[in-house]
Amino acid sequence: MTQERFAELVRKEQEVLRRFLLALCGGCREEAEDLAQETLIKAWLSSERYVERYKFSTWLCKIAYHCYVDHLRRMAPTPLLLDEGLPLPATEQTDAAFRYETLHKALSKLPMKERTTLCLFYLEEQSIREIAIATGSNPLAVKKQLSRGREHLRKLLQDER
Amino acid sequence: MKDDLNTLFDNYRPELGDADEYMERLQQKIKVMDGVKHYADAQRRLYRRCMLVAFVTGIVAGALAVVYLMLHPMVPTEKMSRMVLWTIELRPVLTALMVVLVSTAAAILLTRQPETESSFSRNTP
Repeated sequence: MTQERFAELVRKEQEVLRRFLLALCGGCREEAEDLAQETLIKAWLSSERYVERYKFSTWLCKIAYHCYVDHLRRMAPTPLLLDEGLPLPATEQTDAAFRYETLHKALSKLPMKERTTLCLFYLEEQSIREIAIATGSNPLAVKKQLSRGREHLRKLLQDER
Repeated sequence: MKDDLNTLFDNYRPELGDADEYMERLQQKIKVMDGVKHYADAQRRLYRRCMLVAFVTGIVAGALAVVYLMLHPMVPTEKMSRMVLWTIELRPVLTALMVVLVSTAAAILLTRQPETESSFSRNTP
C-alpha cells in the first residue's frame, strides 16, 4: 500500500477512530490521542499485510483494540475513573469534555470487553461479525457482551442522573 | 435496530481538532518511522549476510580440516600423553562434531529474527 493510499484511507477513518478511543479511554484526551497515533503508526508499519477483503475500519479497530489492551496492561491495575481523577485544567476543550462527562463516567465503569463492544457497535458502527474479528472473539460472545453492556450502561446512566 | 443508546452515541461528537492538521502531523511521524524501518531493514539484511558468511566459512573450514587430517595422519609416539593419543584417535569424530556445532549455531542465528523486526510486528494483526 502506498503512503498516499494509506493517508487517503486514514483521512476517512481517523475521526471515528479517535472518537472511539476517546470513549474507550473515558474521555481522557491525551491517552486517546496517544493510542490513536500508536494505532495509525502500527497500521502503516504493517500495511503490507492488510488484506483488502476486510474493511479498513475493521482492520484499524483490531489494531486499536490490541493497542488499548496493551495500554491497560502497562497501566496501574486500578482504572482511573473521572470522579476520582485529578482536577481537569481549564482549557477550551473542558466545556466539551463536561458535556459528555456522564457518558464517559458510565463507560469507564463498564468491564473492558463490554465497553469495547459497545463503542465498536455504536461509534464505529461495526457489525457483530466485524467486532468478533477485531476483538478476536466469536459472534455469540460478542452478542452476549453487547446485550450485557447495554443493560449495564443503561443502569449506570440512570444512576448518574 | 434503533434504541435509546443509538441516540446517545449519535450525539457523541466531541471536538477533535482540525483533521488536516492531524493528518499532517501523522504523515510527519510516518516519515520518521519509515526512516527507522528502512534502517532496521538494512541492519537485518546486514545481519543475515554476516551469518550466511559465517555459515559458509564454517562448512568450508570444517571440510578443509577433515581433508587435511585425512591426508596427514598423525603417528602416535610413546612420548605423547594419553589425552593427546585419545584426541588423535577421535579427531575425525571431533572435527565432524565441531562442523555440526558451528553449522547449527549459524543456522539458528540465520533463522532468528533480529529484535527490531519483531518489535515492529508485535500486536499487529
